Amino acid sequence: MGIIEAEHLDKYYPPPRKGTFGFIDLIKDLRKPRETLPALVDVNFEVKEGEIFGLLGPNGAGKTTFCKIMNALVIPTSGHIYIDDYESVKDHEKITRKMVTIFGGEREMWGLFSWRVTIERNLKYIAELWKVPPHLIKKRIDYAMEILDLEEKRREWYQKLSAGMKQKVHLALAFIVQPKIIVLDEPTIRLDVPSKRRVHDAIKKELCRNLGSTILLTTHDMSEAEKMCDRVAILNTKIEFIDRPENIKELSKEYEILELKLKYLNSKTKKDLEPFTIRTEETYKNGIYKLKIFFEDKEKNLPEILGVLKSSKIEDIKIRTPSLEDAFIYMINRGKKDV
Amino acid sequence: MFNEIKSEIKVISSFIRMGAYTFFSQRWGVISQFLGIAVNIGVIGIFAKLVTLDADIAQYGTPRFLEFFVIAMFITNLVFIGTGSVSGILRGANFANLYTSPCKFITIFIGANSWKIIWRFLTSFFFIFLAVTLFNAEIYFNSGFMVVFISGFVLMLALDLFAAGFTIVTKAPTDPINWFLGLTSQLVSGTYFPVENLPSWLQPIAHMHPQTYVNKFARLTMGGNASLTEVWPELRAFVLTTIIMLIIGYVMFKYGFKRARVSGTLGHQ
Repeated sequence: MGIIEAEHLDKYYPPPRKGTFGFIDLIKDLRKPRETLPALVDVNFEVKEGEIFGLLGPNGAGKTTFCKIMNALVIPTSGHIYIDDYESVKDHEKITRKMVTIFGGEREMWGLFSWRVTIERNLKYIAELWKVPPHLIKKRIDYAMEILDLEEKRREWYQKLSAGMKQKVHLALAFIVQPKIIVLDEPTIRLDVPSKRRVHDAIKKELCRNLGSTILLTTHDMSEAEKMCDRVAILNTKIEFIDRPENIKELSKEYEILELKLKYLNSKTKKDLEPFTIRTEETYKNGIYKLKIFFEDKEKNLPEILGVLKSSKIEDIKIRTPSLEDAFIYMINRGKKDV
Repeated sequence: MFNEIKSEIKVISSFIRMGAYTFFSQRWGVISQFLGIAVNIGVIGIFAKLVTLDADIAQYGTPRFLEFFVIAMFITNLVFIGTGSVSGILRGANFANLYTSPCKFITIFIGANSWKIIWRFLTSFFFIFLAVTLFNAEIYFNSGFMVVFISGFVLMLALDLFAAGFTIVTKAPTDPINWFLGLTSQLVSGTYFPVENLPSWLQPIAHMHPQTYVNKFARLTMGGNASLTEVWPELRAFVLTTIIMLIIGYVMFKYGFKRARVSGTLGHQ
């Protein structure tokens, strides 16, 4: 049995009210809200204790809705999420003692911190709200500061920090509370590359291995998921796929990607390419066409493709196997086709 | 149970400390608030001596305009703590995070308002202190005043609970209840002159306004030193209204809160 389990979870949001004031819809909503916009459809999966589980999806895929249901901020239309055997909405209070959620992509976390107060004092206040035993607070703040490389900013006001630094301070909450389950919603969205690396290490080595926390990570950064997660679920309103990141990449190895820079590209050429490709992506910049061709059966199709492109004056050519990002886009598009 | 209460009190004290740190980080803001109160009381003291309104203020237990003004301003300042105490928190960006913490639901609202309450009490009593020392205002604090204050505060809280529920359901950026109370509080509730001196068409609004009653009973108890037994026959209806409004406000809040979680709009306004 998993420590987090989603069972037949559906969430449909009410649509926007029509009209200037929306009175007619408002009256309808008073009796029973119309829940017609799908955010999550029959979501089923489980997260095992001690693993880092990635929830991947494009914007609007339902990742944040899922996190909000975990925190009883949103009530599902049907189905349940069980967290350490407790039902997320009904047993919300019990769950808060075991779980910390850090929202990264939204402004909510900012509201929790006082802008004209030092980082250290802010973190002490948050530790007290999360009921960390008083004798451990200082020790844990020191630990979080060291791990997240925030020592120098310790006595600075929160308002003076950059957006990236603020995000690191928000992450400190997990290191201070040290709960059994940590939900990280887009935890590195505002970080630069070195900070991202440091945070990835901190999550993986410290939170997961040393402290033994189970982590649910939502992201649309594929390289982050590939690097961090033991397993990932691709969510696009419904779950498209769940497996280890390398297996998902493997799944999309049935095709290859050809990246070209061309001097010319016309509609006839594009039409001639169609029989030999799965799909193409095209951009135009500074007089050069960049063409990305997804295709199967290299032996058979590659000579044909190159033959078609002969008149387009190839300036650069690269062939590569798909990354997790390509696999992700492939899955999402496949999902759309299925719908 | 006892340990749980102790733990929640500790959380509230953390809220208070944080509120104080934030507040005192703006040193000039603190000084200017005290200066503002001193100027305010000075203006009221002078204005009270100059005013020549032909009004029967003795019926409120305050023979001088000074006490008539000071008591209304003092009690308004205190009971209006309830306004925005729930709807404001619920609308703010902070709520969603606090809700994910192990703090109890009621602790979030008490905690988030605690510094505001302390500071409001402190400044209100400083205001009274200046009125007494500079202008010899006669002010009494008795059990009658306590009941008036508590009822007034709870009534404003009840209205705010209702307003919170209303704004969540309608997704309105402001609510008509707090808007009406704020707009009309000083104009029609008899802060600067008795409601009997208002034009006849405005008097029904004055009688609908809860602050009119809060002012009246506060003046009788704080200005006229009327005891609880003396004001109770009239105060009873006000207390009963407060209890009924609290129940209605709570039901509306519960409904709105649940609806916000269905719509996914908690903290979105």
